[in-house]
Parts: sequence; structure tokens; C-alpha cells
Amino acid sequence: MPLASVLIPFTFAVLIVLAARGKESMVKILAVGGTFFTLLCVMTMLPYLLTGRVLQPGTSTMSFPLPVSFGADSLSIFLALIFAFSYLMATIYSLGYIAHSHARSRYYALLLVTEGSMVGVVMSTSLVGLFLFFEIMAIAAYLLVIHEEDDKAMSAGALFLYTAIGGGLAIFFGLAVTYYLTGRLDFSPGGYMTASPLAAYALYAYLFGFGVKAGMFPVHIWLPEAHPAAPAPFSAILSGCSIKVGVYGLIRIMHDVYGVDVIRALLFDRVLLGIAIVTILLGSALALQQDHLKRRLAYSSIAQIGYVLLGISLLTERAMFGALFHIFSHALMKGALFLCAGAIITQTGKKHISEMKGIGYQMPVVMLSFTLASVTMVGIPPFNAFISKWHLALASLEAGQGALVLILMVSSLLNALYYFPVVINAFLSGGEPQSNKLIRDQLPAGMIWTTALMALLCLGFAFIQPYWPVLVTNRIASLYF
Amino acid sequence: LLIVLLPLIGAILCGLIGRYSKDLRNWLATCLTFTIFMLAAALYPAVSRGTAVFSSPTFLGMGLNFRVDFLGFVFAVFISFIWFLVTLYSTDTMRDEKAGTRYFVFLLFTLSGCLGVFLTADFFSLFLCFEAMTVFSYVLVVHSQTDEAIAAGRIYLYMGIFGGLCLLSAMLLLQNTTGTLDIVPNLDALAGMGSLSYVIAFLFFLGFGIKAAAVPLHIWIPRAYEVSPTLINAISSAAMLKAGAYGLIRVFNMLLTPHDGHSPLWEITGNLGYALLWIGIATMATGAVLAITQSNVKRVLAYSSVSQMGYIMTGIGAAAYLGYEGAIGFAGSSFHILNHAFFKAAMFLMIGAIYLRVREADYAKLGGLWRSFPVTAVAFMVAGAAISGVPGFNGYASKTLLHHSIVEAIAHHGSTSIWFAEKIFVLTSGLTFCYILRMFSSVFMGPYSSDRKLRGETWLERAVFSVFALIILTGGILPGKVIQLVITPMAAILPFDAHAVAHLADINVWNVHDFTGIAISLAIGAFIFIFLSSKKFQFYLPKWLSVEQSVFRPVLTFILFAFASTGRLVDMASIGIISGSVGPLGSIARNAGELDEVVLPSAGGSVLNSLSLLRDKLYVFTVEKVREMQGYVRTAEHSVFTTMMNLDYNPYGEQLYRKLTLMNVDLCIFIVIVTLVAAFCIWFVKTIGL
Repeated sequence: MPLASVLIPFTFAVLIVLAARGKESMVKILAVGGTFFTLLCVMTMLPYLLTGRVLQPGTSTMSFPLPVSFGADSLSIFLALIFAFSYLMATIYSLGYIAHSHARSRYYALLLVTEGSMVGVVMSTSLVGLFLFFEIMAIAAYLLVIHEEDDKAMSAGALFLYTAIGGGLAIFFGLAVTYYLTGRLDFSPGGYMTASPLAAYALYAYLFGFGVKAGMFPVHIWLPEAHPAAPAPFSAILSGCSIKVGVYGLIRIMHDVYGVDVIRALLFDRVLLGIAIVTILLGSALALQQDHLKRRLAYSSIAQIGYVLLGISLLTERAMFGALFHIFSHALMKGALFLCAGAIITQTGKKHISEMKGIGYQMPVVMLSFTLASVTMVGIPPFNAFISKWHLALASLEAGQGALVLILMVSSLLNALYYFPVVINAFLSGGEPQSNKLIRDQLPAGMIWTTALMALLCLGFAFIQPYWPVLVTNRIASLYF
Repeated sequence: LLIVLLPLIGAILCGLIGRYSKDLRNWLATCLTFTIFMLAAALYPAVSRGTAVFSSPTFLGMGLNFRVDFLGFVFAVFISFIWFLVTLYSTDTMRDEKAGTRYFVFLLFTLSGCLGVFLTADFFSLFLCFEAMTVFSYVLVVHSQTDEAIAAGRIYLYMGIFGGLCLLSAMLLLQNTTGTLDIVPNLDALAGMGSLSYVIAFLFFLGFGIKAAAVPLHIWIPRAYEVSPTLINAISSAAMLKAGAYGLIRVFNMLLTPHDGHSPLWEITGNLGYALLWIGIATMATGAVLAITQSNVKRVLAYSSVSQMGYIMTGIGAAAYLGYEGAIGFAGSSFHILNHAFFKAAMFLMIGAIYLRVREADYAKLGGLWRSFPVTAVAFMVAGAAISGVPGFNGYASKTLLHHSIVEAIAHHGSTSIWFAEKIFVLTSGLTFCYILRMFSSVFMGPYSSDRKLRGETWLERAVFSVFALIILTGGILPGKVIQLVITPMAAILPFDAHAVAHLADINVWNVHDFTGIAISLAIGAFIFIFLSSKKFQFYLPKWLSVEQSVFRPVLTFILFAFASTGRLVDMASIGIISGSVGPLGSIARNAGELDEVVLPSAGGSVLNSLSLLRDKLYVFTVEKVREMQGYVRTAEHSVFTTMMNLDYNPYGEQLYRKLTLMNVDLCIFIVIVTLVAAFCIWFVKTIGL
């Protein structure tokens, strides 16, 4: 199953390339089918997620110099599920979004390639496979970032590519050191590295490499450029899934390669905590100053990834729970927000917040989704993000870091400060009276309902009893401590 | 619980129906609020037996718990009743307003949040409902959608969110220390943590105090009230401010109290109560003074609400200060909450009714309206009398109770500072009377300033106002009954001395001492009114006195600016460092390129040159040698040839040749051999230098 879930998207990508000369509809069917079957395939692994058993690789081994094999434990399935779902939504949304764009077949094929490689990253049972798919993802994502092919996209893409390559090289260094020191590159709970200066260099190289992808503070610079340049559905993917891949890598390194004790001995958790704090504050501070909607969302992603980093740096079960849950809720809410931004651009061509007065009346469903997602961002119960913030804050109190609560609160307040004006602008400070007439959104149905679904899920899970995302996440977190 | 969910569902229904029929929507909203009121009232049997509980433990992984005790029950019933009256009233006024559907939808949403606050069992659920109330009511505040409304709404929203976050922090600390968020007396668990209970209390105070308009945090009220519809003011003043007060009661009179009646920890409660009492006093005085200086009716009522919330907070503080015997303070404040809910809602509705017709809110442009609004004028007089505490109206009873509690606090602790508090209390009551007198006289009395023909009051308005007036009078004439039926069971919920609670029922407010107390206040009020009337109320407070102008705004602006610019700086720095590092790296690469381009080719060239030079030299050398050799060979050949020729003509030669022939050597080969030998000899001789 893990192998299948990786192969399906790649297969469909190849099929799309083959079908590209044929009918457009065929390409679309293949794209949606590919993401759908991937989701289905990941769903079949759900029982393993609930029981916490590890799905072992079996015979599915590729013969590289070092073997690449596939397997899945709870964390992998959890993330793969989020990815597969986001991709399905993004693909359906794309049908409408890029309907009038160029190079559609390329777009769909690359979308599937990135999906396959993202699932591959989480489904690999060793660092080799992880690294391999990580690089494939970076290259394919680069091609998607420059999809528009204008100057802006090209320069953003160049930044994206070079930082990704720099990160990849750092990971490669780490890989080499790890192999040199221990002769193995697999994951084993509790880790197998011992503390030594060389191991420390490797660890910080990993931090750099995965941090680049995650949008961590000093190397976040590609993020605010690449997100606005990429097509909106892919921005949603970048923000909702792609940056989580970096976090996934860090979690694996910290818990399955190095082990908690070594991490503590190397002061890694302290450093990461510091970086996380700066990331949170920096992201919020900059998001506050952006007028370009997608840039604001991009900076907000930086702040949110700071929460996740904070969660994994505290090295307690509750904090891990908060971090994982935040991955889940952020994928939903930021996905919804980017899809909204894309919908606004498609319908009205407006990219700046100051132009969006009264837009709520022209596209009520989209802007209501935006409202839901922004309320989620602020962390008001019963929306998803409240739970992650609650547990993160509680975990930091338990760790004796009361000041972190203050930071979380300030950041929540700032979230309110930079999301609510958009909503208020859209609904309340209307422009001319005649434009205040409520009309239906003039967009393809696929775009509207995917956006609305993402936004509703931010709230919807609260009304499903029992609240299974919490149960699942709790189980995963308990596996680590 | 159905009561909370029903408005939510109803609101969505309302929204759907409102697109098609306004009447049906109005009718539905009214019915819904009435049903909710009845449902709340129907809880009585369950509540009087104990508590009604509903919980959903898996909700959000934290559990959503509703539990109704008598305290929450009373609040819920009265609030839902007022909500019903306001909704009934708004069916008329909101009929032709724009965005009426949105108004009703969010009115119901807010009701759900507000009731949720009163009916929840733990702080998490309470917080959830509290936040819901803040966000939903924001839409009501900015109903008119003008720029001022949005600006005021922004303050309202962000202060609400800030308060919510303070609550959240307090809850986090509480959860972390005690491991539970239930609303039970829990000071024992907290006291071990040193100053932590003070921190928690402070955070809770910030959270609820913003909603309850405690003095430095009241700044949103006048702005929000000025721009929002008067109906919303009525609701907000009657219900939402009370949600804050309710929260304060739950925290200061319940959470932060020890289990045991004679525990030394009551001292902490007392300290907190002392602080809250003074905040309450400050709030009431500030509110009253500001109310006098305003000339906009809505702003006056807004500040009046602030002032009245001060009374309530004073009561809560006094209750906590008195500790175990604090039942009287609680009784005063809770009674005042209910009373204030009625008379302030009534006043806002009446002012709203007038505003709807006259479209003026300034004193100078109003006047003589009692002719057009006779019932309103009478009802307003009743409400005004109540708010200023004239005996016979409900405000009198609650204010007397509050006064009692302060006096008791003096007696109990013997502190002189509270003695000042008592004086301020009396003075504020006077000021209250003063601004009410002024409002009544300038709105209803005096010459009628405009020539326009006004539409008189409708029967619905008359009915609603009369109901309010009746309730106020009932409360005023039979305070003992109210206390016995409503207040005492409420006090019994809280951890007060049972004896003190029982004593409450025996309090008789109809005695000479209390009469004189209130008479002094009224006399002060009347005196100030007369004094200020002669000056036409022409005085303004200096601008720096406004907390908003002097403290919040500059501080906030500075913090935000500093924060934003630091962020930008750091971002630019990191971009600069990373992108900047590209420059040096690039130049290194360029230098390397130059090296490659300039040095290497020249080196390679020189190597090649020297190689070819070497080759040339070798060639020339070889050729020379060969030529040299050729010369020798030629000479040798020549000499050999001549020698051989000589030999041929020589007898020796003859023999030699014969021998050679015998040797059967070919002549040519012989010649060659000899030539070679000769050439070698010549070269050898030459080389040796001979």
C-alpha cells in the first residue's frame, strides 16, 4: 500500500504526459483520478493509523546503491492523508482556476509528480528515500512556481530553486556524515546517533536543509516570493503541505535518527525554540504590513510554521500533539485562504487588500469561507486551530516557559489584526451602494465548493463526535514519548 | 443544551427566510426568542432541585459542559426575557432598515453566545460562548456600516479579542496549576503557587473587565454605543455587559475562594476584592462625571452604563472583600445587575424610539417631546427614578444593598480607605441623579425646537415600555420578595456563610436610615444640577484625561510601530545576509572565472609554445645532423670511389678485386660497407677533434 500510494501519482503523471496530445477532458479526468485514487489508497491505510501498527516495507525495494524502501507508520499515514486530501481539493479547484491558462497538461502532470514525491517523502523508511523524493519535489515544485512564466515568477522561481538546492546540499552533507558515523540511514525509534561534534554539524545541516523547506526564520526568504508567484491552488499546496514536509523531516531526524537525549545534549531543542519564537513574531510582524493578499498569507504561513516548530522543539508529548494538530489545522485553514485568494483573482483580478472593498457582496460564498478560515487563524473555539494553540500553550507552561504563552497570545492578537480587516473590508465597508447587492459568485462550481469545504472543515470536525483528529493525533504523539 | 442551540439553528433559518419574506422572518425571530425565554423558565423545576447538566465530553477533545445552577438560571431567564422584548420591539423598527436580515440573524447568534455564557459549567465552555458573543455582536455594532461605525467596531472587536486572549491565558494558567477548569472554589490549589492567584485574577479581570467596562478598559463603550443602533445598545447594556459582570462574579466570588469557610486563605480573596472594589468605585465615578459632560444622548447613556457597571463591580468587590460573610455585597450587585438590565434597556429603547423619529441625538436639538411621546415620557421618568435610586423604584433597593455592603466592609475591616469609598459612592449617586435630570429635562421638557410634525409612538412601543415600567415598579415596591425569591437562592450557590445568606432575606430596605442616605445623594444631585444648569453645562474635561488619548493610543501605536519595524528590519537583514552572501560568493566565482580565462590560457599557451619550440629545435638539430652525415657520406663515397678506381688500375687492386670476387661479395654492397666505414671514420676523427 505505501508503495502503491507513491506510484499512483507518478503513473498518472506519465499517463497525462501521454494523453497530453489528446483531448483536454482526458487530461482532467486523469488528474482528478490520480489524486482521488491516491487519497483512496492512503485511506485504506487508516486502520493502521488507528491501531498504531507499522506497515512494513515487504519486497518493495528499489535497487539504488542504497536501498529505497517504503513503509508507513502512523505519522506517515497522518501526513499522507492530509497531503492527499489537499491535493484532491487543489486539483479539482485547478480545473476551474487554470482553465484559461497555458500549458495545462504540464501543470497537471507536475502537480501529480509533486504529490507523488511528497507522499514518497513520508512513506520512505530511510533517509535515502526521503532525500530522493525531497529533491524530486523541489525540482517539480520549481516548475510549478514558474508556471506563469513572467518575469516575477521567474525571479521568484530562481530564488526558490537556489534555496531548495542549497537546502538539498545541506541535507546531503548530513546524510553523508550520518552514514560515515553509523553506517546506516534508516529510521529507528529512539535514534542511533551519538553525540559528537561531527554529529552536531550534521544535525545543524539537517536543520538548515529542512528549515529551508519549512520556511524557518533565517531561510524563509523564498516563501513570500514564491507563494504569490505560484498559481493559487499550488500556493495552497505549498503552504498547506510542502512546508510541512520540512517539519516532517525534522521530526524524523530528531526522533528516529538522533533521539531525544542526543538532541538535548547538542542543545538543538534550545536553538530550535529560539528560531521558532523569532519565526512566529517575524511572520506576524511582516504579515501585518503587506497589502498584497497572497504575500500576507505567505508571511502568515511563516508565523504558523513557527508554532509547529515551537511544538516539536519542546520535546514533550503534549507539545508534539499541538504541533501535529497544528499541521492538520493549518493545512485546512491556509489551504482555504489561498483558494479564496485565487478565487478573488480569478473573478475580479484584485490582488491587493485595499482594492477589495465590498467584495463580499460579489462573491459571498468565497468570502464567507475566508471569514471562517480567518476566525480559525485567530484561534477562537470551537475552530480547529484553537485546540493546537491551547495544547501548545499548555505544553509550554508545563515546560516552565510561561513567556511562550505570552508570545502565542500576542501572535493570536496579531492574527486578528491582519485577518479581520480583510473580512471587514470585504463585507462592511462597501463602496458604492449599487454594488452592495448580493449576487452569486461567478466562478466555476468546482472552485467554490472546494474552497467552502476546506473552510467548513476548519469548524466541521468540532461537531462530529468523537472528535477523531484529536484522538488520532494524540495517539501519534504518544508513540514518540 | 437546547436553549443555546435553538437560537443558532433559528438564526440560520431566519437568514434563509429573510431573503423571501420580511414579515415571516420577524415573526420567526420573535417566536424564537419567546420560546427560548419559556425554555429557560422551564428549567426552574430542574434548577430548584439542584442543577441541570448537559455535557459532551469529547467535544474538541476538551468537553463541552453545560450546567445550570440558580445563578446562571436567573440571569438566563431575565436576559432572555429582555431579549424577547427587544426583538419584539425591533420587528417594528427594523422592518424597513437595510440589512434587516443580517440584524436578526446575528441578534439570534449573539443571544446564543450570551446565554451560553450563563449556562456553562466550566471556563472552557464559558470562553467559547464568550468569544462567540464578541464576534457575533461585532456585526451588530457596525450595523450602520458608516466609517465611524467601522472605526468604533474595530476598537470593539480588537479589545474583545484581546480580552478573550487574556481569558485564555488565565485559563491556561488555571488548567496548568489545578488541572481543572470547573467553576468551583479552587483557591486552595492556587494559593500554593505564591503570587500566581493574583496573576490569574488579574488576567480574568482584564478578560471580563473589558466586557464589563471596568474603568481603564471602558473606552470602547462610548464609541461603540454612539454608532450602533439603540436596540443593540439596549441589548449590549442589558445583557452583554452583564456577561462580563457574571464572569467577574464567577471568578472573584467563586473560583478564587477557598473551600472552607474559616480558611486563612480568605485573606487573598479579600485583597482581590479590595482591588476590585476600588476599581468599581473608580468606574462609577468616572462614568458619572463623563456622563454629565456629554451632550449626546447616546453617549450619556453609554457612560451611564459604565457608571452602573461600576456599582456592580463595587458590589462584587465588596463581597470578595468581606470574604465568607460577603453575601450582602453579592446580593447588591446581582440585584443591581437585574435592575440595571431592565431600566437601561428601557431607556435605550425609548431614546431609540425618539431617535428614529427625530434623527437627533444632541441635547441642544431635542426638547419638548413629551407631547408627542407621553407614555414614553412617563416610562422614562420611572426608569430615570430607578437609576438614580429614588425610593419606591427598584434601583433604590439594590443601591441600598450595595451601600450596606460598603458600610459593612468599613465595620468589618475598619479601614479608612473604604470610608472614602463610601463617600464617593454617595456622591456618584448624586451625579447619577444629576445627569438623569438633565437628560429628562432636555429631551422631554422645554420648548419644542423643530416645526416638523412627528409621528407619535406606536402601540407596540407603548406596550413594551409599559412592561418595562411595570417591572421596575414591581421590583421597587416589593424588594423583599424579590430578594427572597431570586437573590437568596443565587447566593446559596456561592461559597458564602449560610447564616449570612439567610440574613439577606430579613433585610428591610424601608428604614429611615437608608432613606436619609439616598436623600442626601438626591439632594447633592439636585444641587449640582441646579448649579450646572446656570452654567449651561458649558465645561469640558481636558483632553489628556481621556485614557484612550493619553495612554492606550500612544502606547499601542508605539508598540505596533516598533514591532512592525523590528520585523521588517530582521526580515530585511536576513534577506540581506542571504542574498548579500550571493554577492561575495559571486565575486569569488567571477575571480575564479577570470583566473580560468586569463591565467590558465596563458600558462597553457606558454607550455604549448615551449613544447613546439622544443620540437622545432629537435627537428632542426636532427636535420642538421642528417645533413652533416650526408656531407660526410658524400665525401666518403667520393674518396672510396676514387680509391677503388685507382685500385682497379693497380695490380694490387687487381688482386684485391679478384679476392673479393672470390669472396663473392657484391660490389655494390662492398662499396656501401666501405663507404659507411669511411664515413664513420671521418665523423669519428672530426668529433675527436683531430
